[in-house]
Amino acid sequence: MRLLLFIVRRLLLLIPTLIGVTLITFVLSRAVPVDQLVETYLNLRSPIPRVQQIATARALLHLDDPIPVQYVYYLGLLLRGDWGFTNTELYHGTVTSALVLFFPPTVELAVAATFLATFLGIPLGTVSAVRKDRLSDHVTRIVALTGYSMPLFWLALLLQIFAVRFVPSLPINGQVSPGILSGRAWLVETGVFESKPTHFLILDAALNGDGEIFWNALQHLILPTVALTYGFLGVILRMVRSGMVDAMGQEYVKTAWSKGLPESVVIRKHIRRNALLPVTTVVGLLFAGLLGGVVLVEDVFVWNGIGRWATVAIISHDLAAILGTTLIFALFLVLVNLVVDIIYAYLDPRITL
Amino acid sequence: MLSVQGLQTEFLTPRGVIRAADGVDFDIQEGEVLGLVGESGCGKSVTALSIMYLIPTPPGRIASGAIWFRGINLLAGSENEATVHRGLGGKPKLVRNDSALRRHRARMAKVRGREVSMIFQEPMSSLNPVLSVGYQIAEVLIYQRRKMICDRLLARKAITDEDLELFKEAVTHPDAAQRERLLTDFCLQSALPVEKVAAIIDRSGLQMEERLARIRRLSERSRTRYAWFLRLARELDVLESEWMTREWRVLSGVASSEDDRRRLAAQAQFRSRQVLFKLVMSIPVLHRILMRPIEEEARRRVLEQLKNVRISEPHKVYNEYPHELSGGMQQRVMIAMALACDPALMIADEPTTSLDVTTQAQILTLVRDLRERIHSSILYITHDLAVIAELCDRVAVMYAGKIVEEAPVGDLFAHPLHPYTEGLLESIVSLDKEVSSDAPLPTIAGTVPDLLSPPSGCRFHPRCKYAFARCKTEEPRLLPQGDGRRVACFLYEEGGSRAAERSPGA
Amino acid sequence: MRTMGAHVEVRRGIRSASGRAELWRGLRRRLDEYSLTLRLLLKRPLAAAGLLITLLYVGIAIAASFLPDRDVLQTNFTTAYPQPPWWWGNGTPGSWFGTTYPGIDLGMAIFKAIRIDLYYSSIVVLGGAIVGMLVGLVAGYKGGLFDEGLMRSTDVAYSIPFLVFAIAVAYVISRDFTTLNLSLLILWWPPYARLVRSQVLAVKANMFVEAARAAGASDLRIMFRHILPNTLAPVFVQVSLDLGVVIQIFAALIFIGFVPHSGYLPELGALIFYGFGSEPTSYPWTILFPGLALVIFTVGVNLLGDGLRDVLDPRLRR
Repeated sequence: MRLLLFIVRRLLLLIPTLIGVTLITFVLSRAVPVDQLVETYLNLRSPIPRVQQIATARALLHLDDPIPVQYVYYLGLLLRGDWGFTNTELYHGTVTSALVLFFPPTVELAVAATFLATFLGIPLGTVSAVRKDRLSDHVTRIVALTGYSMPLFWLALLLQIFAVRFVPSLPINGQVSPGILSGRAWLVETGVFESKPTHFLILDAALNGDGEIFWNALQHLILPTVALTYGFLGVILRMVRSGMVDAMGQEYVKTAWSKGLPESVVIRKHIRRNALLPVTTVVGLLFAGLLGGVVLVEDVFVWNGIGRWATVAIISHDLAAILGTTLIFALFLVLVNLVVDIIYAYLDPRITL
Repeated sequence: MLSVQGLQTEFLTPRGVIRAADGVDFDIQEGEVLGLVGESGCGKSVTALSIMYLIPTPPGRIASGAIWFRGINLLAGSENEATVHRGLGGKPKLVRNDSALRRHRARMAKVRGREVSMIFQEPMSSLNPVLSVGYQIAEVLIYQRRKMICDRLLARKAITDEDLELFKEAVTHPDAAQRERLLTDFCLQSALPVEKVAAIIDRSGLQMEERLARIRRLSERSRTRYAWFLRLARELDVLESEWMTREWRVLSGVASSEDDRRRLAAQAQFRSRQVLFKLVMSIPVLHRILMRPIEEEARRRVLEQLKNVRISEPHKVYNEYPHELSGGMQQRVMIAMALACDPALMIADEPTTSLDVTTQAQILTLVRDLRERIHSSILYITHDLAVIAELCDRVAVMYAGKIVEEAPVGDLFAHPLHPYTEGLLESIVSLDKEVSSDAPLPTIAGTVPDLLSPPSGCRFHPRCKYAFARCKTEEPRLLPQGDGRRVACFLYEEGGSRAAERSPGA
Repeated sequence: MRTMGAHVEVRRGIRSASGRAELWRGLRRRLDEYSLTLRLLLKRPLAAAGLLITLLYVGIAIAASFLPDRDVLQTNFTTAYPQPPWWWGNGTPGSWFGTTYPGIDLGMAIFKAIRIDLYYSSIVVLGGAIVGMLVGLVAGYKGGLFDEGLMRSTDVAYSIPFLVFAIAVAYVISRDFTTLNLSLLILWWPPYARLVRSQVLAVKANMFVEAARAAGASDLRIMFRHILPNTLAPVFVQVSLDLGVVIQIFAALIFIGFVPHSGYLPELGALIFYGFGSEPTSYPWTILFPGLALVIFTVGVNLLGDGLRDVLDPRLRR
């Protein structure tokens, strides 16, 4: 019950944050010359004559009204799902449909990397803390250090070189090998592919029982995930270790030992459960870094996610795409932060609600 | 029952080695309360932590000594676990033998909580903030009293009419507190889950017949399942105890060849069973289901314990978290935790120092009452002489890492021998004594010595009114003075001015 | 803590000779603290290594401004292919780190690149730190609505990933270094503000603030003379760690193509991009060395930051 109240309160706090975020994108959109702004709603390949399109766009944007009013209409457009039109070579269509297409691959990467980093980072960090100042600790810390000191795109490049030279069978580009895509009913390839029903390629391959694409896509996932995970892992390792070291010095750990509990129980239940609390608070921030990293990885590995779309957009001057990606990233992050806060409130009984 | 002999515990600091406990000897008999008193920094807590083997290494180290407890030496093997080497630049460095330390800790795991337990000064920080208070007490039972719990669960039979009578009383009794007690008793007797029984009792608008029917159904549903797991867990507990006991005996040097043979056999059997046990426990959902009956039984017993420490509404308190309780309640929980397994010795390290006076009085009353009912001995550590007077049978006075006097409590207060004890007693301001408003309050001159470079000879001599030449050069040993008293002071040895005061029969 | 001269300073002021002596003593005390920090730092091998590396890079950055533009060797077509360094397999003599497309000597280019990267990163980090400190100081000290507003804006700032925001801003305004720096700066001050604010809240509760106020010191004075010096420690740590982070973000943005660099831009991210564009599998050194330059700097700065954190922990001093 108290958790429910907390969730409600937290959701209410979401509103000012959302307003802030949308305000920023709004300001950005109004900072460009009017022609560029209007262009974000133009479909360059449409049969409708340009002049007419421009007029529609101007009306949609309420450019003649005072700024605050424009903002309100802007919010309305966002909520209606009309985020503009993108005309890049990568994709041609409404921004929202582009997002639907590009979001899943990014999520695939982000989720895979987060899982891997967490499932490796927490046990390794625990071991590192328990065996503090011994060889395994030093080795782990060095590995972590290299992890978060390396430029992500550089690591990605190195992995590509490594794969080409030593493991030639490992794919280094894209989500699937292009040759095998044809002839699937559930998959449409129009430059960027669109899979049914969930738009998550790997998931859809599994759901459609398509083993070949499933394994192929999985293989393509390996290198980008490794690149993304390595940096993330370093940060998590360091945080877990320091959290554990702090927790180990607490009084209640002494009590736990004095009860004669087995070592594994003391480490897991008493030390680690408390150590992970501060880590949880930072996960939101870490995820922001992850999203930044995703952009780089997608660029190097030609992974058609939102990051790649953003980089293409910046080179092709597509304002609609840029604003769209900024907004979607921000919203995603806000969501993740919300979930993290709720998880934390669930884990820590001391949180007053 | 417990005999500390020549305990030396030291700490390596950047500035040098501190001997916090320097040759400490004392005994504790069955069922007695021994008070350990002294100023801050005199080594009382360190002594207690050494008994529990809770000294943090680094920077601490048990340099030498023996602690005999029921025929085994708890410090057996500790000399090689951490040694001091000359490090870089000539500074002493502590070198740990991690595997030896780990094994020793594993051995101690069968002693701590079970035979010897401890409560600490700050109950708020001594309790894990993210686990419920009840669970933290149950933990001791789950891990230390597994055999007993499994036996009880395996012996569970169908519910009897007697049980049902008890149930009826639990529902109908007019007094709420008594109903609580009856509920706990009923659950213990019938081995039924507490929450569910409480739900049946609290459900309004039901006839007694209906309630009884529900209880019968509950009893049916709660039949012991997975008996194989309970038997496995039980056997593991027995084997581990057997193995550890034999190992202790071997290490303490009191073992026969029979012991050693049994030890190896037990160890082998334990290891093989443990593989299976660990395998089962690693399956995520299954291990929860299997442990559930054990946890429930532990929970029932915890409620009983909470009653013993005078916590009303144990059901509510069980699920609460440490920060939701008052300081007094927290300390009661700690006491319940310490006494859950009926240990032979409970060590209390200044349990009331951080509490306000009224709460302190409550806790002391509780401890006094518990004394009557339990068989445990208590080692009560404090700097408050008033508490000692109320609670203890015998007292040991510590100064600068050594015991300077030991006596039955009445004798100590009536007739202190050691000059330090004299000074302590004199400095107590009480309503009886005459204190003039001009004269300064009596204190012991000087300050507590720096343990890095303690005074030569008798450590108390710089502050002692009666010091003479010998005190500066030699260290007095703790010698018996008759009537169960001991003192470490040259005044009572040959040539000392009070040598003649020894009681007859010394 | 630096509380001792509080009431005296307030009453005497700078005009009097004794007031100036007081000030000088205060400065000396501060210098002693810093030299103690330095000595403790140098005792730890890793932290000392970090410090060394950082200083090395600063040295390179300064020296690089005196380097001639010899790095663009020739635009001769044949040598436009990357050449390995002289010690690598079958290398060309004369170049220490090899060359990269389009005919640039990698060694010189890296040195110049370090200068640029360090310069811009420092601006962002130091600027963010200063802005953040000021904001955090005032917010923590004054409290109330200002504080609330600050917290909300940090929430918003935390919701936006740097890379994407920088892309958006720069697109909208113009794609050059200044805008890049500006957009990073806008997102960089919140962590400092939060850090300083929590420190201020902790320090505010101390007695000496009360004492200073009782002696009649103005808010400004209290904030700057008494509270600020005590909040500096974690800021130093964060600054050194952030230098590593920002330089990476910077290089990443350039790599993506944020700032047009089709020709030749002596910047580490750009250099890696040139390597990327010209079949890195055959010429691995083209991306290896610029990347290593980044990695070593980040490692050095991280070691320094960690060392500072350990050393400035008040429990470990003296």
